Amino acid sequence: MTRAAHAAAMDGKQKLQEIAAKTLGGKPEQYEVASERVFRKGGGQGITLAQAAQHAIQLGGKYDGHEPPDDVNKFTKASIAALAGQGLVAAAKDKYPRDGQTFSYVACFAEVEADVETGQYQVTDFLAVADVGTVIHPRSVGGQILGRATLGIGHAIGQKWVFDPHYGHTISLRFHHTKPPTILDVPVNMQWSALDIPDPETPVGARGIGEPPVGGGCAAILNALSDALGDEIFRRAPVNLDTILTSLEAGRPMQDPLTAHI
Amino acid sequence: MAIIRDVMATFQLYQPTSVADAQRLLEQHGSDALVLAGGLDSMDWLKDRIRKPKVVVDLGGIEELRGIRESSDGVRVGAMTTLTEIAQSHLIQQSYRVLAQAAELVASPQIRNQGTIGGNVSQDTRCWYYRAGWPCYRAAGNICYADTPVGRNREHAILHAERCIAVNPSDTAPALIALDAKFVVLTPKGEQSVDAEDYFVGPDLDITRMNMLRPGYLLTSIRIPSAWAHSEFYFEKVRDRNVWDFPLMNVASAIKSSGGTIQNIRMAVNAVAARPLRLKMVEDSVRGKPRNAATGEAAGKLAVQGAVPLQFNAYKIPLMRNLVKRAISGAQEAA
Repeated sequence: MTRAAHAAAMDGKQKLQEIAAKTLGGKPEQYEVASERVFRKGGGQGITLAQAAQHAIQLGGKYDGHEPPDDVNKFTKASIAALAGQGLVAAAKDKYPRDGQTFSYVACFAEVEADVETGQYQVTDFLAVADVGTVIHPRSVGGQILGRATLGIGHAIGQKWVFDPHYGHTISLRFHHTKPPTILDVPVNMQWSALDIPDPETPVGARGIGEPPVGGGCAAILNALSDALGDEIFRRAPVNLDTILTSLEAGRPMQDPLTAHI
Repeated sequence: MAIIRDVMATFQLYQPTSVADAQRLLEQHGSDALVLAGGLDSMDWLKDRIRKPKVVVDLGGIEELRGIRESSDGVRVGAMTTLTEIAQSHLIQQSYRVLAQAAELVASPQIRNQGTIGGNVSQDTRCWYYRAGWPCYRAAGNICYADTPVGRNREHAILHAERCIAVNPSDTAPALIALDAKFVVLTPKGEQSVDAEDYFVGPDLDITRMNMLRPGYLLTSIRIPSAWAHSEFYFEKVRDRNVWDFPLMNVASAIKSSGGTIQNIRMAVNAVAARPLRLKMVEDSVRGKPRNAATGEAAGKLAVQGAVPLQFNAYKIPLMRNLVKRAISGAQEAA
């Protein structure tokens, strides 16, 4: 996504510079784009992006999407055709060099406190460290890491649909019946960190983040529980207090591995 | 025009402003009427179109049903008093803390702002099958869908199940039983005051009702005697998540002790049977005993005698044993 978005943005910038040159004279490379304007380098004459978009419609052709680039996907061409004539249309194919795949990694650490008389447990501490390339917007990436880790914590501590295999019927009828985690289930002490090592495969060095913390968040809770209570307590997620209590009572696992989505 | 099915069925809405008017309406419409308190339980039934009453009597406008008033022999709580009002009442917190604790653990802040004490004790069971409108025993059918080898009965009963295995989900009910509260009910034959534990009905008595309310009946207030004020209280609720959840089990106790010896005690658990259970045998067994872990341990074992687990709720037996133990020994032991 980072690569394609960057390619389209570069096309948009190029078109803005060309429109400015056609409107105000000079060469495209004599113009720069900033602060919602395109203007002569070092200050001077310029037009707003809104004015540039109006010029794009007047110019037509590649500027307002009537002539899409040859090399883009046919679905992208269909999208461009749907937008054509409404403003400046930027579109480009990702042609940046690639020398490998791009993956994000997240390491999650959790501490849980379990009550062996009721089976209830609380996540008391949580840390996620992400390797997601360059950090462009720290608050945004932190929100992604902790927010999605919370989804994983939910999968570990209780969120599930309830299904009756005999009657073949889902009996939890609404999303809230799946019991997603609440703010009081999230640890008070929840931290994140990112390595901020640029990814050579993307033009800005950033990678995608969102899904990786889900698995990490879930697995960290399960590992912490296993460490606290023993390896033979549960064999599937979510781990509810009934699983813990019956297994501790019996001294052996009392819940079968997951065979159906129940 | 298409018939829109995804809405509540049509009903006549009455919003009386006095108990007398409400009672007249309830007597007039009998079993056609549904009583609406805070609406948290009722709205599910209406929106799912499982219940289609012809008449809904909304008690929200009856001022005389609200409020917490101190009397010569205790306190009177109007049935329409919200759970937030009870949890935050200085009087309840000071003298009857177990009820404030129970009310504060109900659902979520939003629900407690709207939900009432009368509604909380009178709410219907949460059995998945029954609430989805399946024609089970409780719905006047002739089968229990939850009591099969793979039925989802993790939340269901371990005691006093009889055909129906559903449980009562109220958090405030066991606290009121521990406080020896009296429920004041208006009936067509006049006012009745019943012991808290007798307000609730098990499937042996009537499988289609959770409490003594019949058509035309109205719970108006709950009276808490001063006899158990300032006792040593204990309340604990066990649930799947920390807010907005029904109890998997809860326990309430009120103890009067002297020199570490239990002089008198009342205790109740809920979500183990179709009605909240007062543990009379346990009370009798611990009177005169020291209030310590050994007494609690023995009481816990006694409490679960006769408990029968279903396929997925065996955890409730050690859970009840441990909660009773804690409610008597007083302190949560370190995990």
